[in-house]
Amino acid sequence: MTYEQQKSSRKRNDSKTLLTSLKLTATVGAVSLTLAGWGLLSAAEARNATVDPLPSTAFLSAAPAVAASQPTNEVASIAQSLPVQNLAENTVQPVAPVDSAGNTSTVPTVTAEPLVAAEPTATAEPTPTPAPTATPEVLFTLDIVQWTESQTGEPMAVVQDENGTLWYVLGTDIPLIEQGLEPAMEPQPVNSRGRSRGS
Amino acid sequence: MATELREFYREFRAMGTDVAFWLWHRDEQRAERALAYAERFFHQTEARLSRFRPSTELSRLNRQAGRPFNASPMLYELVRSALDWRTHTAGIFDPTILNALIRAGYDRSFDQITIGADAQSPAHIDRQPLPTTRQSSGPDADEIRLGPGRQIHLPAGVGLDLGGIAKGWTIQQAAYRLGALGPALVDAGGDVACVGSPPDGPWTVSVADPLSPEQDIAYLPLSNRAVATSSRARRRWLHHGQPAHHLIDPRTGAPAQTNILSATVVAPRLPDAEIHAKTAVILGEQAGLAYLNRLSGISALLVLADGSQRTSGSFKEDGYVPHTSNFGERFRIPA
Repeated sequence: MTYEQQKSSRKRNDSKTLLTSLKLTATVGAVSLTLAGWGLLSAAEARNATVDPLPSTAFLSAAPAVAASQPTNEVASIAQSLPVQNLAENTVQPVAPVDSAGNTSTVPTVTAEPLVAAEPTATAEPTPTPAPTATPEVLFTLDIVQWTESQTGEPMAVVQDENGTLWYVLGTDIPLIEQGLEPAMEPQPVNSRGRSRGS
Repeated sequence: MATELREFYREFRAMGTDVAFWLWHRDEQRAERALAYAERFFHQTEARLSRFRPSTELSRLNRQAGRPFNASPMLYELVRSALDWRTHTAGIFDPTILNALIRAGYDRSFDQITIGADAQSPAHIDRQPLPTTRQSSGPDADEIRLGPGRQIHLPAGVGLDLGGIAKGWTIQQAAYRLGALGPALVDAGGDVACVGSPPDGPWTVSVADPLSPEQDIAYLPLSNRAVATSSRARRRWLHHGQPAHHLIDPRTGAPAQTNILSATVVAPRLPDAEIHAKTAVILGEQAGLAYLNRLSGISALLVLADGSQRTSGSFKEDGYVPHTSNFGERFRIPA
């Protein structure tokens, strides 16, 4: 091999090395962008969650977005701790590929495609503001005689009914019962004495 | 010096079951004396009316079937009352089912049936302590004659079981006697009678779920009322490998085939509640409800074998039935 041939070969090898290096850099950049994209998504979700506490039904519709962000929770949590501008600054910019002649190309390479994978940001579209739900109608007003607490420390109300019977009602059940809804725990009479059973 | 009303309590065992008294009174000594007296009354009544003890007056009456028997006022009144109820229920309640009960295996106190080694064995069932020429109760029972001087004449081969009505009468009498001093409630094995109301509202009596005895299926605010539950989910045993229970259908002389698992009846007096509940269970859902709906002044809750519930009278309105009553309805206060 002549010197010229050796030089040419070395130049080709250098170019290959450079190309490999650039590809690696671009891949790292793309991955970083993807992570950053997910980070932004999570940040957007976090903001939405803060601004609009979701009603139960809206929460269900948001579930897929939450699920999609789950695999990057760790990254997202870091991302959420950074301001959006910092995210942009810390992201490796995509590097334009260089051909064997050392010319840079403006044609996007395949390695940049992970950017497309960041499309889940579509799910980060602003959550539609839930239509304001009507305030549940209060049908009954319980006569709360006293507040106490259960053995497990839950607030319990002592409620008197129209017969004068006193009942223990779980504190969180008060609004449910007043709205005519089924309580989570059946009220229990305070002064139950006899117990009728098969004899 | 007058003190505040206080609640006094006593529990003991009698008539094969747990008995409990509650009494509100200001004076501890008087309250305790009254409770002790009421307990003695329970034991004395059991000593006179139990069919499981050979020495009781009822056992002597049964052994003397075919000959006249001079009864005490208590026994005489109870037999007369039981025969009236037999007429009133067209024979569905029948005190002459004793032999049918014994044939079905209920020949000893239920404590002994369940605790005894042969609890699931028919070995004890073949014993026939009473000579009998009848296979079941029926028209012959009409021959029971009540004569002058409290004389009772049982036909030969007829035996009386006053179990339910005697127990109901005893509980009601104890409640009246305690109630003379202050608000009182007596609960004996799930049959409850109360007089008056405690200072903080009516007595509240829960009703056990026959399918899940640790759970309650209803709560009843009661004042001067009684509640009895008749159930074929309790007092049951195996007889020749077949499940048997203590509710005998006098029409067949065998444990009632009925789709009612339990009937809870609220009535002004406990013996009434006892008999209505038993009659409804034996009759079954349709006829039982029709029977209950014809009665005034009572309310009832039936639990069917499939767990579904039926009510009669104002049971739902008077009581609170979880999962079927709206608790909020108890507060008819405009919001």
